[in-house]
Amino acid sequence: MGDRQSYCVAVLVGLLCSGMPLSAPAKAQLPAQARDTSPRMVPAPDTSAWSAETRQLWREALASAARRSGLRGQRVGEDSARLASLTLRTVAVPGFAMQVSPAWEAAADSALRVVAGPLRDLQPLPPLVMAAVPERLWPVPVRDDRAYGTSAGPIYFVPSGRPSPDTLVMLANRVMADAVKRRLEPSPRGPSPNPPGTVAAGRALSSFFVSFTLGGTSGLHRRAGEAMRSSGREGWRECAAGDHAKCLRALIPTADDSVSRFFGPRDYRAHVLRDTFPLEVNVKRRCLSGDDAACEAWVRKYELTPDLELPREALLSLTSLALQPRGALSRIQAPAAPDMRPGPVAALLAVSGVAPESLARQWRDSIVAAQRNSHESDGRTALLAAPWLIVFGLAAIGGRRDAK
Amino acid sequence: MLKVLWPTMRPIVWGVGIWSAMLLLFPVGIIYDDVGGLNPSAMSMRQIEQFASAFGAMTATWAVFTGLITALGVWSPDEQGRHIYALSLPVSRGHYVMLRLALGAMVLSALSLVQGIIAVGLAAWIAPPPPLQAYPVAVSVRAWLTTLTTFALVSAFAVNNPFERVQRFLSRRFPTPVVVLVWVAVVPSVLWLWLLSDSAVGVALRDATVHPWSPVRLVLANWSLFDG
Repeated sequence: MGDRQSYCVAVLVGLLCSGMPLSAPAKAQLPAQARDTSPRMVPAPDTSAWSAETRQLWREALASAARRSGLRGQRVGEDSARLASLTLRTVAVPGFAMQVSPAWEAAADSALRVVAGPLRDLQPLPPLVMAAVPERLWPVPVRDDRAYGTSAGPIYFVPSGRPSPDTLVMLANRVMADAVKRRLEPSPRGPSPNPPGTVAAGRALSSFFVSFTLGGTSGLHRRAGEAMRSSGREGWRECAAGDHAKCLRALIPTADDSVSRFFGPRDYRAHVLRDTFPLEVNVKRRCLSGDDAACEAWVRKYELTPDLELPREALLSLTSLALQPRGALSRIQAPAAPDMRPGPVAALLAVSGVAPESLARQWRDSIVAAQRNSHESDGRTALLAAPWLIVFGLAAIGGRRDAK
Repeated sequence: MLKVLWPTMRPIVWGVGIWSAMLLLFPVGIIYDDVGGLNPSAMSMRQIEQFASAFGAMTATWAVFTGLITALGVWSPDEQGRHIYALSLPVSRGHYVMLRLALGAMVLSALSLVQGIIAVGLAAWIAPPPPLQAYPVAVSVRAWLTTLTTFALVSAFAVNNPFERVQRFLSRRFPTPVVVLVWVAVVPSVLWLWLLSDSAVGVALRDATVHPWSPVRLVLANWSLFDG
C-alpha cells in the first residue's frame, strides 16, 4: 500500500472511529445519567411497592427493547423506544388490555423513573424468557378509529411486519391517549365529573409520557424558553432575571388574571401589530389606537386559551411529573385551587403536588439552566475540532502528488 | 512564504474580507428594517432574538465558506504547478505543505479576528437587556475553529486528491459531458439516496453525521449571539 493510500485509509478510519455511533448493546451498558446530563429531580426506582407481575413486566419490556435488533441504530431515541415498548407490552398482556389499572400507571411511572435513573435495577433475564419476549411484544392490538364510529366499540387492527421505532412511538401515543381518556372520562353520557381542562391536561400528560420526557428534557426546556420569550411576554424577562413572583404570574394564570399582568403594554401591542391575522384588521386597529379591551380580547383568544401552546403545557407536564411521577393520573382529577382558573394548567399543577410557587421556581431554574448549558456545552464541543485538525493536517502533510 | 504567495492570495483575502463584512453586517439591516433606524434600544425582545439568530446563521455560513475558499486559494497554485518533490520544489514536499497550511491558518486567524471584533462590537452596541446574555467570544472561537477545520479538511482532499484516479479512469474512456454528468448528477444522487435510505449504511451515516464527535456538529451547534 502506497503512502497516499495509507493516508486515505487513515483518514477513513478516523472518520469511522470518531463518527460511528455506539452499538445498542454498548449503549445499554451505559448508565442513563452518563448519556443525559440534564438535571434530574426523580429519585431512583423503588420496586418494592410494585406487584411481582408489574415488576416482571417492565423488566421484560425494558430488557427486550434495549436488546431488540430492530431498534438498533434508529433515529428515535432509545428511551422513547423503551417506553413505547413498555406501553405496548403492558397493553398487550391479557388482563391489562385497554385497562387503565393501577398496575399500568405504576408501570408507566416506573418507566419514567428508570429512564431518569441508572439501569442498575435491570437484572439479566433467562435466555428463554428473553427469546419469548419479542413474540409476546408483537403483534399488538391497536385501536383504529379512522374508518369506524365508536358506537360499536373500538375497532382494532393488527399491524403486519416489524414496526419502525417511529411507528412504535406513534402507536404508543395513541394507546396511551386512549387509555388516559377512558380513565378521565368514565362515562360518555352526562357531564364529566372531572374539572374543566382535565382531559386536555391528560392528553398532554400521555403524550409527554411517551415522547417528551424521554426525548431530551434540556431541549424541551430550551424550546419552551425561546417560545415564551419570543411571544413578547413581558413578565418572562423579569422571571428569568430572578423575580419568582413574575414567574408565577407569567406561567400560571389565576382566576383574576388580566392581560396587563402578562404583557407589558409595549410588547404585547407590538405583538398584536405584527402577528394578528389579516382578517382581524379591525381588532388590530382598535388595539393600536389605545383600546385595551380589544387588545385583551385578542390576547386572550390567541395566547391564553385553555389549550395553551405546546411548549408551555409540555414543560408544565415535565416539571410536574418530574417532581411527583407516581399517581399523576389520580391527582390530575383533583379540583383546582380556589384562586386558580380551571383548565389544563390548573390540572397539570395539581399533578405536581407542590405549591405553585415551588413549581414556578423549578420551572424557571430549569429553563435558565437549559439556556446556559446550551452555550456552555457548545463551548466544550468546540474542543472536538482539535483532533480533526490534527487528523486532516497530518493527512495533508503526508500526502503525495502523482507525476501523472 | 507569505511574501511569495501574496500575489496569489491577495485577491482572495480582499474578496473574502469584503464578502465577510457584507455577510456579517447583513443582520444590521434587520435592525434598520424592523426598527426604522439604527436604534438598538428601540428593539423588542423578539427583534433582538431575530437579530441574534440571523447573525449566528450568517457566522456559521461565513465560517464554512471562508475555510473552503481560503483552502481553494491556498492550494490552487499547487494544483496548477503540480509541485512534486524533488523536481519542482526547493524544499521537501512535507515542508512545503506545512508552509501552505501555516499560510492558510494565518489568513483564517486574521479574518476570524476581524469577525470576532465585529461580533464583540455588535454585542456591545445592541446591549441586550437581562436575562439575555451575549456570547460574542464563544461564537467567534467556534467560527475560528470551524474555518480551520474546513480548511484542513479541504486541504487533506486537495493534497491527496482521492478522486484523481477515478477522474483519470473516466476521462480515458468516456467523453467529457458524460464525465461531468457523472460527477455532477450521478454521484451526488447515489450518495444522497444512500444517505436517505433506511439501509444500515444510510442509518449509520446519518447517525455519524450528527454524532457528538462528528465535525459536522461544529456547524450544527448553537451559533446564536445572545441567549438567556
